[in-house]
Amino acid sequence: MSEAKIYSQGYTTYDGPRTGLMGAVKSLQKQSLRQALGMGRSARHKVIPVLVILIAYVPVIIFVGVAVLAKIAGDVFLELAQELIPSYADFYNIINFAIVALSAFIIPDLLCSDRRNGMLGVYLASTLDRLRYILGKAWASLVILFTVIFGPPFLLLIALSLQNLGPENFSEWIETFGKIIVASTVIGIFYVLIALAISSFTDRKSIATISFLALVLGSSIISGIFESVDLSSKFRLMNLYSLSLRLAQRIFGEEGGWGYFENSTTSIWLAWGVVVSLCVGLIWFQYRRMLVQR
Amino acid sequence: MSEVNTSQPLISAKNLQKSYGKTPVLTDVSFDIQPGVTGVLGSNGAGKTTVLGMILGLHHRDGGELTVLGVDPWQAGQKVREQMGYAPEHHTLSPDLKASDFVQHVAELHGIPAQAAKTRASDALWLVGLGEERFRPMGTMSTGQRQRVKIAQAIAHDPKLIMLDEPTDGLDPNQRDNVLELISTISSEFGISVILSSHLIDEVERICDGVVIIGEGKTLASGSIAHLKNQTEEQILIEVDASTREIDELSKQLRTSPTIKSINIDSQRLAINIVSDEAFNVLRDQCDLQNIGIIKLNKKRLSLEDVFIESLQ
Repeated sequence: MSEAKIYSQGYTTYDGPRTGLMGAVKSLQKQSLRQALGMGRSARHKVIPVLVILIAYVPVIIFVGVAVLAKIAGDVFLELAQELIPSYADFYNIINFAIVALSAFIIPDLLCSDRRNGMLGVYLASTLDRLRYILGKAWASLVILFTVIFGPPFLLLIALSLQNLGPENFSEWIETFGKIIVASTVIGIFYVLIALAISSFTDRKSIATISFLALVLGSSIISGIFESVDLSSKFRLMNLYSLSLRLAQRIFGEEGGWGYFENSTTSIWLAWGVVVSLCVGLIWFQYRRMLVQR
Repeated sequence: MSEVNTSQPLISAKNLQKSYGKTPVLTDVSFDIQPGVTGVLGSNGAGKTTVLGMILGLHHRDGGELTVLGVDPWQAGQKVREQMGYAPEHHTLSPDLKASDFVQHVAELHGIPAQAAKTRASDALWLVGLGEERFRPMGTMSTGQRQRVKIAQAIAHDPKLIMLDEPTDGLDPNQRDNVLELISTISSEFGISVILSSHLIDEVERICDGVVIIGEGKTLASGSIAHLKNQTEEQILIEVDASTREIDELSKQLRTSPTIKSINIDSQRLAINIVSDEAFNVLRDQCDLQNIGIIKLNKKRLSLEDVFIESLQ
């Protein structure tokens, strides 16, 4: 008998298992992550995500360095280090520019390019429907944002714990860890939905990016103007740059700076809920009626 | 061409209706699509895209009935789409993505597990003649190669039916022949039925077993191409030596004959749609009676293009 083997019969029928809708959603998420991080694409597509993610980790590297040096230097420097290293809630203020930058430059690409290059038609001609498509994209966007929202404070928690500067016992550690997850999710959902809502109105990534930055930074300027003329503290809730950060501070049990102490936690949650609901409504309104291009 | 199975239609549509706002797009579309290769013909704005969208379960219909692979696509869109492949008209699908990654991704979207999808993507790309090029980004490929990638992604998950939207758009005659041959092969060798949306009548006539002609939101004609051609009457083209008044009189007399369906007059040339060959005798006798000389006379069997044009009229 010959020992020759046929390794491939070429294209033929497929009788194997099928993964169904879950497999399709998983594949969409995987592909969206690859697209956002520039994987399998030319080098220019990797520059912005890698740069922004690295920048987000610079502060945590500095603070961890300070903690390590203080530990080596002794008690006097340890007190100084404790002064220098921000609380977890305040840490979000430091990395917020990276969160906003990643939301502005990466998330629009996930929706806009699919409509621009006809991939939306391919997706909706598969087992995916519009709702699963949007949910898959939102999940992928949240995972990407988590690299800069959750990653740095979590790394700080680990590093400080190793230097005995973190939570005092295990239950406190778990509580802090839980608060980091909740705060990161609240901030992530907020920016992901704003970016996706804006991206659902244009198939041009650059316009979506500019619009996102204009809305987030513009709302900060406008609320600052209102604040300067001493209008109601409620106008502070219009500030899309800081609203979710203030909510994160409340999650950590802090009152929060930037004059937010005048606003109740309920009112901040309410403002967050209004923005999130509005964005969900806009995305669904756009995609439900959207004609799939050929 | 593969043999048409007339037992169970893959797709059955009855009186489909659809409006966007107050604008009616489909008013009365009915057809049966049998296994094999079927062309969907229609001018721009005829409602082709809306019909394709309904078949995929993407558009809700305002009225009528539609069954695709035995189920209502609006109710069971996921089940229908799992068994279908779709190649859009768009040419710029993710230009940075490698062809193999793209085909694998689409296979996964249709439920093929990742490892099997990778193998099938490779096999599908070899089948369409892009085995050596499969790791190239699609943006660096020629239009012909991209059309082949689109066909590969449509068949990678082993569908029962694929829909190809203008698959020869932008191709030179040689590439066009190759793609049409590939489509025929996919249907005849692998048993995958194909719906081909096109505005090029000759390519539909060349590879399709059946055709659906849509115009102004209605089905103008549908069925097997052979049947449609046989259904349409033959035509006599005649050029006569006569004055306008004599031609009008000749036409008037001919119209009274039951063997003649209609007459189009263009100067001294008449195109006469006939019901039977007896019309030749009627024509000869009338010309003789009116003393009209015949310069040229021939009989024409209508092509699909004639059927299409006649349907539009």
